[in-house]
Amino acid sequence: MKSDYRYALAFYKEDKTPLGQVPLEVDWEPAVECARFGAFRKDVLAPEDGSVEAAIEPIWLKAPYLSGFRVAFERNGTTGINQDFDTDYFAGLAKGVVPQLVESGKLAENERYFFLAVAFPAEKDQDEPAKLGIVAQPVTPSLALKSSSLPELTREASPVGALSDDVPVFLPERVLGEVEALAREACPKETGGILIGHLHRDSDLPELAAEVTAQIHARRAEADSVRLNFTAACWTDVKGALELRGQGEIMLGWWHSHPVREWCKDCSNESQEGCALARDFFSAHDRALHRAVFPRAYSIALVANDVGVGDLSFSLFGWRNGLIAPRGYHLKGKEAPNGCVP
Amino acid sequence: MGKPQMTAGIGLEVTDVSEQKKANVENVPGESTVGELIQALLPQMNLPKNDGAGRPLTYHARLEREGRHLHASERVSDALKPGDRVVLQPDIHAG
Repeated sequence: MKSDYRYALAFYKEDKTPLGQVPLEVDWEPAVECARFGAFRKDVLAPEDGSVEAAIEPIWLKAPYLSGFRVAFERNGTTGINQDFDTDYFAGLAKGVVPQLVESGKLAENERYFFLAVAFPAEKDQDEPAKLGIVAQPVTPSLALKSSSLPELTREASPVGALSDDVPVFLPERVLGEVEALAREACPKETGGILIGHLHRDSDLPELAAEVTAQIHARRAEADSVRLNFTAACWTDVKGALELRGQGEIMLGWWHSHPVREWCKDCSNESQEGCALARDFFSAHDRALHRAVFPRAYSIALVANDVGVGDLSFSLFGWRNGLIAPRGYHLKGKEAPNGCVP
Repeated sequence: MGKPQMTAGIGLEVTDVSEQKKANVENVPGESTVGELIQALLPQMNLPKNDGAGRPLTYHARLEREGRHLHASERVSDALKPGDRVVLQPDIHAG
């Protein structure tokens, strides 16, 4: 992707005392992917245009300060396919800088702060030379789309949680049942697996949708009560299972359990009920895994919250504006279960 | 024993585990190791180098032709043939 600017965050105390600027190494891929997929959904960019180069452009509040940035695609010398993002995109990076500010004594522990994103023209040719001279030319993978009617898919399903403008996701009750059984069986350890299925296109709307058809349990993942390690062997198993099924399914996302009843076993029922870990909790490690393996804008992550007080519930996460956020879904095959309230 | 002989580079097809990221790689030096190849590919394929705690992630290269994971110390010229398909698989954990 093309960017003619270098980006930084300017930090301030709540009373506007400046704390300094910190240069950023921004991971633009989720934003670019979001913009590209958004264009696919609206049918203004075709999947085969996947290699069209994206440019990152600042949106000025007043230079060098930003109100956001724009991902723009140039095709046949014309622009106009773009999406704007606000500076919330940098909030995770800002959070990562705070410990440095605290350590240097500029900010007290738990002291409030705010940041402004800034951009400056970058010097040309800052790219590092490729290691060993190895150059990888990206190839746009074909996006297997089934032609479907979204109203028909929706008619057979019940909405769970807030649906907003996210790409519609359909989850069968059968899969949730399997996940619940596996999560309960594994407790006090975590367990998990991969969600597979199809992408659908309704060209009348136009709109895309993701339909989960099955889950593949990661039997060879290494687990304890706070950690689930997807080893290389797990990915090989998934590939083997997909080939064996032979239904043209793709990896749509993943699931894992949070054995909250083990984590919170020493807490009172009252504190467990209000515990932030009990619902819609997605750790930094969960986010890193989602980014590393499931960066596609349609990718989802299902969490089975195996709580000590109340019933097991589900939280679904997905990409929204380049960030990972709780989201709703359409449940197929049964009425909405307990859970998933974004 | 003389100097190691320089071998002609080979071309490979590389994907991530979801197969939604693919790349054609040309002229991979035969004398490089699989570990060096992986490290060279990660930034170019926009694959993260670190986990949620900032620790380096370990990626394995799976050679589809033989159905096995290559060892990081194997030499490209010993392990790979032109046109081979390699999948980069991370060892990565959720919390």
